[in-house]
Amino acid sequence: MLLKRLYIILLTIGVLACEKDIELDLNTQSDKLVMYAFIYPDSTLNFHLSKSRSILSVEDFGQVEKGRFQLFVNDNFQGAYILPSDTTWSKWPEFTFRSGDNLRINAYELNGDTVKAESYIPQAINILDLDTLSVVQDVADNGTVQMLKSKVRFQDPGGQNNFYQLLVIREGWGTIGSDPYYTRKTIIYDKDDAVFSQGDQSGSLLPGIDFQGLFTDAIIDGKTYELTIYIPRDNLFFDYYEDKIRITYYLYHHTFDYYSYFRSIILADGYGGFYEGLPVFEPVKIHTNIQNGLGLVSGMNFDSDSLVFEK
Amino acid sequence: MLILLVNPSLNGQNVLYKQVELSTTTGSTQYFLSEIERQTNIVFSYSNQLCFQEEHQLTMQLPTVRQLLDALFINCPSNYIVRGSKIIIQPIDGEPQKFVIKGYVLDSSSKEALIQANVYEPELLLGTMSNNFGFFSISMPKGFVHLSSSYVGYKNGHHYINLERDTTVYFMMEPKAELDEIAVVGERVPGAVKSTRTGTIDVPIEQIKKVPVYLGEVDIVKSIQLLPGIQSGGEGFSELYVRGGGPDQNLVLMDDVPIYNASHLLGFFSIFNADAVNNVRVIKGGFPARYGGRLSSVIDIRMYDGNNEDFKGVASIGLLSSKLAVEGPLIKDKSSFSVSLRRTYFDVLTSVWQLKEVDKSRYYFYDFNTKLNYKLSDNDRLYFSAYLGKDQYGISYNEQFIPVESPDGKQTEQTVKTYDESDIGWRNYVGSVRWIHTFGNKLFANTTLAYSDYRFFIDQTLNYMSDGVWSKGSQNYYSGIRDLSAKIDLDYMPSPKHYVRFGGSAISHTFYPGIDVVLREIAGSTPVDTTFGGTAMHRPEFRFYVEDDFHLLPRLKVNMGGHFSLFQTESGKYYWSAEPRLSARFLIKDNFSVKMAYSQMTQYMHLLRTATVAMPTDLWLPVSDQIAPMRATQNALGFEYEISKGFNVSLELYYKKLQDILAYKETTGYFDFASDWQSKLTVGNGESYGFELLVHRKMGNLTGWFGYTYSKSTNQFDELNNGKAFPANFDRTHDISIYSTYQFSKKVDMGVTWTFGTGNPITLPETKYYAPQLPTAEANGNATYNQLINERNSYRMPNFHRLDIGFNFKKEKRWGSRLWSVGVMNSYGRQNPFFLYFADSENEQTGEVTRSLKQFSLFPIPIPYVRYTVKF
Repeated sequence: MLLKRLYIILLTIGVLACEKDIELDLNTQSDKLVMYAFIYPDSTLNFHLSKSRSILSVEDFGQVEKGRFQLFVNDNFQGAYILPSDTTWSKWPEFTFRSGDNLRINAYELNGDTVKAESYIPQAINILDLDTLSVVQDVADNGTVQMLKSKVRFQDPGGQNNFYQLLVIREGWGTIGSDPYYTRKTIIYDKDDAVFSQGDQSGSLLPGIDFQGLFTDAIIDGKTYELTIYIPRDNLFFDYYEDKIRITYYLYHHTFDYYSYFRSIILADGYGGFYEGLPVFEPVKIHTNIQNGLGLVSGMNFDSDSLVFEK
Repeated sequence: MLILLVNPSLNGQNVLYKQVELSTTTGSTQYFLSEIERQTNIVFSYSNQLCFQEEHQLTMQLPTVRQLLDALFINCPSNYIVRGSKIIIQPIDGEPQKFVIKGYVLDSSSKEALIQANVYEPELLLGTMSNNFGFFSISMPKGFVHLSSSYVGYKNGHHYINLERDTTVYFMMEPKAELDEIAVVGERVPGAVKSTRTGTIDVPIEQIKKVPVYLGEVDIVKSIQLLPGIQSGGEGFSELYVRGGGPDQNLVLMDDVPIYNASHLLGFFSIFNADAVNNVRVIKGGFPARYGGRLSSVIDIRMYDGNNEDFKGVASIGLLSSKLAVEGPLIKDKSSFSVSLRRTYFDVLTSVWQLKEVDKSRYYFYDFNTKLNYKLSDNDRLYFSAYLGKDQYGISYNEQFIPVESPDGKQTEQTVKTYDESDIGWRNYVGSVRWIHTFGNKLFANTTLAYSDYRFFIDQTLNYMSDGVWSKGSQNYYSGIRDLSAKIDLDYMPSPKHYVRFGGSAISHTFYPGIDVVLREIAGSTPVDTTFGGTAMHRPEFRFYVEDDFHLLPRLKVNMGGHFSLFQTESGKYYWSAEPRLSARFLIKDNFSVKMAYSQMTQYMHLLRTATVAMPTDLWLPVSDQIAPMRATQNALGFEYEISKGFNVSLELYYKKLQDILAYKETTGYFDFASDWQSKLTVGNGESYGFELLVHRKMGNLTGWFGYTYSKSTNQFDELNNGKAFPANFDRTHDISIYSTYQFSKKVDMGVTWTFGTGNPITLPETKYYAPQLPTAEANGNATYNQLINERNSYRMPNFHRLDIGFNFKKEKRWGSRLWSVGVMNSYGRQNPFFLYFADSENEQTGEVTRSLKQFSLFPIPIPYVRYTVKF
């Protein structure tokens, strides 16, 4: 008993660590304008303009009181607009966009800095085929599980760098009494396909960072490719109120800027697994395509296909 | 040159070493000979051809007989033949004939080799050094030879030889009691016979054992970190950052075999059990041509061969581990062995108080060293050595009771308790067979076949019900590197003025980047084993070298050589390198020298690091068609002043350039497995310069060192920090290490270390900005803001300093001795930073939220330790 107590005490001492506030003179950086816009064809423009803050500020961002922006589509000036100062995102339904549009946005604070960004709306890459098959998959942590093997076939345009994301959404419809019932969730699927993991280091017991279905055409350039994913079959089970389920496969065709920004914030968000919460990693630089500022402006496009199940 | 021929039975009492007191320093040859005869009762006999002078102007007042005769006949070389108290003086005609004296320098009680011992003729200023096996060979003129040997911590050894043929001698060196201060003075090794090396430090193992250490675990690497020019990665870690280089740029050799991960317990302890270590040598610059493959340092560790005389042992109990080391003869004068074992007992103790817990965890590490040697003949000896070491952390969970089937397949009421288990760990297995052979008297060969295997692993075993049958599934992930090598090193000693080394090696590297093995076992069926994941990469490497340590001028000694290497990439293409190595030492005075060195190094493998601190997941990978080898060029200028024997002051200036060093790009990291590892890296250059002051006292009651380093290390990568140069990760402007031990008596000694260092560079964001939820995010991220980093490593953590104090209480016992070691680490409770981070905190009374920079300290309070050791 005594030995045990002694050891507990010594272990406690050995692993005892402490934290305290320290003071370092941080270089003062002037606040930068921060701009975000994600632009889909046939959809409303959502726009954000704010200011950066000192890292020691408790605010995540600063409001821009007198913000303005100008929009150019295919070099045609669409007008200059005053941004409301009381919302994080402003909606602009007066604009419509099409695949392939080139976009340019200038934003500025009255009597202040100006930021610029250029992007385009990528062409949708069509899903040529969606095949599904129910399979039994070996999973070491609980033997075997039923999976829905899904093959998404598409043609990668050759001669250019393409950036993709495959997103799978489960939606359910039903009623509770006479009230409609709706559920929606993103399905986290196994990303074992070669397009997701090109590294030699990964293993099922040393999982890498989940890049949420992002991939490039590095190994499929110009090819028709059949991307295989496995979805746990429990996603096909109806819950108590559901009468219909729809599983939708979204194949996003991203711009380089969106892809790079997305990847960098996933990396910066931290590492899971063994080292979670341990800030001993090299800093990650977050991508931006905003000249003289921060943030991201990008066109977006996708094609989708779905499976529908009814009770 | 004067040659002495004496009766071989003569020894240290030789009449030639009687002292003569001169009343005048002016006189004829005849006068001084008569004076010798008068004072010493020596009688001289000489021929009429001997040259006599009318007047000598001498500078000596209390010379020995030999020194006086040397001075009198300086213009006419003569032999002195001693017959009892009679000395016959004969003039020499022509060049004297030479013979070889070879042999070994050994500890008198254990017969262990003493490595890098000086062997020299004190009057002729001819000398050499024993090699890694204690072997030496030196050519001497025929006649009387006085050969001395000197080694730190031992009394000087002497042989007086009537050299008429090639001769073998053994220096059986006796350890010197540290309290015997007087013996230290006056037996200094002449400067002319000492090493040419700069940037090389030999640390006596006895000094290392007295350094106060965390939890009483004697740690060689932590002692090395106290030397100037060498830094640790962070408080408590056993990593080495040498002159601006990274931790993968150090060649750590255990008996000539490279070790790829030299740490236990996530880097808090090194794998070297000090009870098994004979010699530690640290080379930071001026690399001899025989070493290659890493850019920044060589840590050459030699293990004990085993006591040839008696069975001896050391057993020790500490807070963290217990150790046992045993050595002794297997066949008298033929063969001996040494075995040492260290193991922690966290797991044993935790298992006791986890008896009633459902989930159980365990951690342990162990080291096992063994070495056997067998003397095949006077010229041949065979060594076998092995090292096994492992760290493992595991948990058992998900307790289940599986019904036991009877032999006829029916279920019984009996059950067996099982757990699911997960383990993570890493291990080194190292083995070597060496054959040393002396060809004739001047050529010594060491042929080594070695195996080194480092693995990081994760294992998972699960029990589950599949189709009504209990089954077991296991998965194993591993990464690592395995080397098979053949190597020959030859030492050729044609004359006392040349020491030639040459050799070559062929290494077959196999890199395992990450391999999954899945085993599925359903009760009653054959287990299915599947391997997938990364593929093993086989890469051959070849190395050749030649170097000569020679006297260019009487005061100028030079070591010149070249190292050549080839490394094959995945496409079959070879990278090659030819690396010139040069170091020189000029004796300004016998105890004051100036040294310079130039060396080029090439490295064909690098460590893909998980984080900024050591992690077991760190991965060794080879150069490839896309990734070129890293290269370094280093220049050094040094001054060394020997205050007294074993008490030196050295100052060294260095400038180092690193080319093609690697770092992660700013938009990726280790766990980014979506990218090919090669595309995640970016190539850049580095620069490091500074000076290092070392005051090192190896002998006496008060021993230790004071080290000060001023350095500046920067890196420049086109793709990092907007292309601007930035401080290297562990650039430390000022670094002070004071280590001292004081021997109060034969029973009590004290060790104190104090270290100070400028804070490590750190990258801190200065700005935050809005981060939206992306429209295609699978899951909502935690971050509501992004951080903007303006400059890399542009801030520094608070300065680091710490005082550690330890005492050793020794008592002789009938069966040997016992030793209590107690001490306190971080005696004044300095809170040194481990990492910094920003955090919000809320004032509970006002509700006001403030944000501040916080420091995390790992060992913020004084930490005591105790260890009990017995020697038998």
